[in-house]
Amino acid sequence: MKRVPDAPRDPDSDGVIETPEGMVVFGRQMNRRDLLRLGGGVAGFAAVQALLAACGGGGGTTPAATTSGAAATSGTSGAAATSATTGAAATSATTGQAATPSGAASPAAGAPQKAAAKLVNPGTPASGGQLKVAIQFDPTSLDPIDTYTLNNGRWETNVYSPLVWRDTNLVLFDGQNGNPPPSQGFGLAESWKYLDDKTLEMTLRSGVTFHNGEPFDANAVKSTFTRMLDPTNKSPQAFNYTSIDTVEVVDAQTIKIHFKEVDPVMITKLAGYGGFITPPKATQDHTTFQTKPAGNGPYKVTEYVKDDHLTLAAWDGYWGPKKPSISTITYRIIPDDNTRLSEFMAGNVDVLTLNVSQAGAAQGNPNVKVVTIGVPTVSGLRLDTSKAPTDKKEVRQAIAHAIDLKTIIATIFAGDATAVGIWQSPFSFGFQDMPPYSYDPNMATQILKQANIQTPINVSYDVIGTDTQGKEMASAVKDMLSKVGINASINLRDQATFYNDYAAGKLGNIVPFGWGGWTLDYDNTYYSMYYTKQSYNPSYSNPQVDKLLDQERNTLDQNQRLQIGQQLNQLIYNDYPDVALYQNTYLWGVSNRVVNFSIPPDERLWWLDVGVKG
Amino acid sequence: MLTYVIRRLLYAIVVLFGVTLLVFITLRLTGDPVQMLLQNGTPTKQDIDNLRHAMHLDQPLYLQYISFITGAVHGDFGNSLRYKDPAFQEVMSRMPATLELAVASYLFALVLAIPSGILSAVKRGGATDLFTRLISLIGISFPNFWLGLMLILLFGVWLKWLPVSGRGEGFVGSVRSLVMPAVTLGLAYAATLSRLLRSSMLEVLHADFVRTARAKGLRDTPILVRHALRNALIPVVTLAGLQIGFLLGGAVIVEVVFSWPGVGRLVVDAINNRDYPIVQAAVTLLAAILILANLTVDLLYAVIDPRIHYS
Repeated sequence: MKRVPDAPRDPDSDGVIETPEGMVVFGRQMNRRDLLRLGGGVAGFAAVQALLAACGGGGGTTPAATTSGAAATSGTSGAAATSATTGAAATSATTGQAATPSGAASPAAGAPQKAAAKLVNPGTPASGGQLKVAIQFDPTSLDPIDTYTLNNGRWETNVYSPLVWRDTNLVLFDGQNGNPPPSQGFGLAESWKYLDDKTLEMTLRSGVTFHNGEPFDANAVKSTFTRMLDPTNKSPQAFNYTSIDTVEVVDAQTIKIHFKEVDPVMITKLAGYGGFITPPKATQDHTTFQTKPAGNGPYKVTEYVKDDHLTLAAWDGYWGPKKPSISTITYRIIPDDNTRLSEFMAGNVDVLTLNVSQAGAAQGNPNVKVVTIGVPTVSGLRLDTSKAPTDKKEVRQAIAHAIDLKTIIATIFAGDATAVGIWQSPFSFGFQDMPPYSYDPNMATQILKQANIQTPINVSYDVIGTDTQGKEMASAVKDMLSKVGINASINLRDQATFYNDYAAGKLGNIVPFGWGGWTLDYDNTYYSMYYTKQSYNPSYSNPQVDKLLDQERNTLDQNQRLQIGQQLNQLIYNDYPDVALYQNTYLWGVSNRVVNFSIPPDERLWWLDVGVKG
Repeated sequence: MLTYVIRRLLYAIVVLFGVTLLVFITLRLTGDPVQMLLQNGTPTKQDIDNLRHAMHLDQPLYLQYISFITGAVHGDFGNSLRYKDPAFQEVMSRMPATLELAVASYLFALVLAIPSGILSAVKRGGATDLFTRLISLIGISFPNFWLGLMLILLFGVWLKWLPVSGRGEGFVGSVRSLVMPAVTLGLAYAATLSRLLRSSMLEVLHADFVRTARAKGLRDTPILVRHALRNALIPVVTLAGLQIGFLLGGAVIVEVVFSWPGVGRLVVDAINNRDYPIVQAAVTLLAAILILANLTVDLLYAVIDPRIHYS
């Protein structure tokens, strides 16, 4: 799922403020032209949205489509790719596995970039007040084992607590390599150690209860994972935790997690919201728990009206070192992009994500700020290595070197995307700053000539018909390819069937795609996209890649994993199974009422440190 | 009359049966929901097969249909794949919001269309007629999502008189939140109705019985209300029956624009998520409402025009 908002920045904007955190915010008076632009933009965009709604297509379903006007990619449509960027901590390199028998030490190079969240309206939050957040989708279930989307991650983090804490800067509280210790975070495990490669022992906090009064203890952890991994519950979270064999209750405050196989990324997964702990008694009535849940985060759910709103209230009994400032947080479910924007402009919503076409209107409002933030999702073009002519490496090379990425980012994305060479964001463990494939049409032509490949070559390029930005890119790429003798025929596809067809290998030679890497670790991205016959790898097969991925999955030694990751980077980069293009950027709209709001790159909004004025 | 009603109800069952078959087949033509449900992480083929089996999607189509129709007769459309709740219950929980919107827009349309249609016919060719026809033309021409957004901008964002979206709480809150969606949905219908009523009235006003009434010395108002309007209403009632479908179906877009938690939004989301049970339950229910509404309209003919008899 790709979300690539590309806020058009006004070069003459006179209200640009550079905060100490390096954030660029915008603020200037709205003039008549802005109003007209808003009206026109709203009308035009609404037309598309309404048509989509009427046709049952695009706009309504995926966060990507809505917040960005893009939609194309996602190896997983709505839920998956968005959540792809959510789940776990960035630093699998520094996850406490340093204490493992394998002697994993934190690698000096290749560790992920520490992602600075962007702080908006810094200050001391006052107590009380109500915050209103717009979300696009109904949560559908408030039980965390039922859902997987970022849309849910925006509130779940405040209602439930995970075992391992990762803050808004993606720093894991594991006490390793200068990271804060677990006790200073908001995770439920006080400490942990690996007894062997397949046994993890965790000591849990004591004196913690759930919102409904149930005590938090080892049984709650066991119950959470037992429920999630029970196939009858069909939890979409389960796939990430299948390495867990059993959770053993040692005593009330101690658990042992026994693994079926070595899982080097488990600590980071436990910091993801898939690892939220739920109360064992309340969850016995699953149906009730779906609408009346209880966690042990700083906020409790007080009201949920499907398709309308979800209300959270500060919980007096919160066990953490800080208490929440805001009294009530209301998540308003507003499916239409333009209606969300209107609510924001009318002052009825304090926080929302914006798409590119909306940013201009919002930037003109002196009462709000528009913030751009790079996210872990990377987008690009997958090339089908089993279909002629892209089964030939030379053709794939020619395609890669024919694409003028700089122009695409400057024009289609208005500069709000960062070119990448591999399918990893800087937040990902294993990331290497490899250059994008060079734009060199002459080289592309030469490669085809030397391989005795006759031009013109015909390739098919599939894109979702409702994905405006994806179609723009398809047109641009088609034009670029034509200059090296490659004729691309663009096929517009239905969104509902696009990802199924992609997984089944039924799409064309070129397919736009996006993937965030759920764990912020190369394992997730590379395994899903390059391991033979994985769901999001319908065609590519390279025994060397498979072997390396098997190796890295079988060790807790993070240095070794890093080296393998770097070998994989090089191997895949040289094999051209796809063309990674850019790291996505999101746009957030934040009312000036909101104080001390730290926007994380992974969208897991954390309200404990935030306040509201008035 | 009773025989007629019974016959129509039997027809309705056949039509409903056809609707369920059509929806069932069409939905399955669009593909398999399992891949969408398992789109998270990296499901294996075994995972996909297991879920497909659990959802009975590996059974032959006719068996799936028999299972669906047997359940549907008992009001059991299965559980929503997305919400996990019974689909029928889910649809019914949204029905009040949709009906509230449909009724409000219907009332708005009637209140606007009947006087304007009559006035336009009576003042034919005059400034009032021109103005009414112009407004009608604009009303028909505006796409309702655009009109909705313009109303939102004007009354919600700039003037802040009405809530931008959502379904308000309490009586006053509900009415305030209903105004813009009802106007948006009802305006095009009002315009159509007004034009139809105008032409129907023009025809009736030249009929012999109106001339007779005038010759008897009746005043304009009784002639219009008691004689002309009642006769002019026949095509209007026909249109009203047809428009119920439009109001329920057309509400989808308005529901999305105004974040109105009705059936329309539910169905659009369900289609996008391939939530078969919800789509099947909603379409069947809406089809049933439409069939009943049309039957009611047919029966109303006899009430409006005593010359019409059913046998």
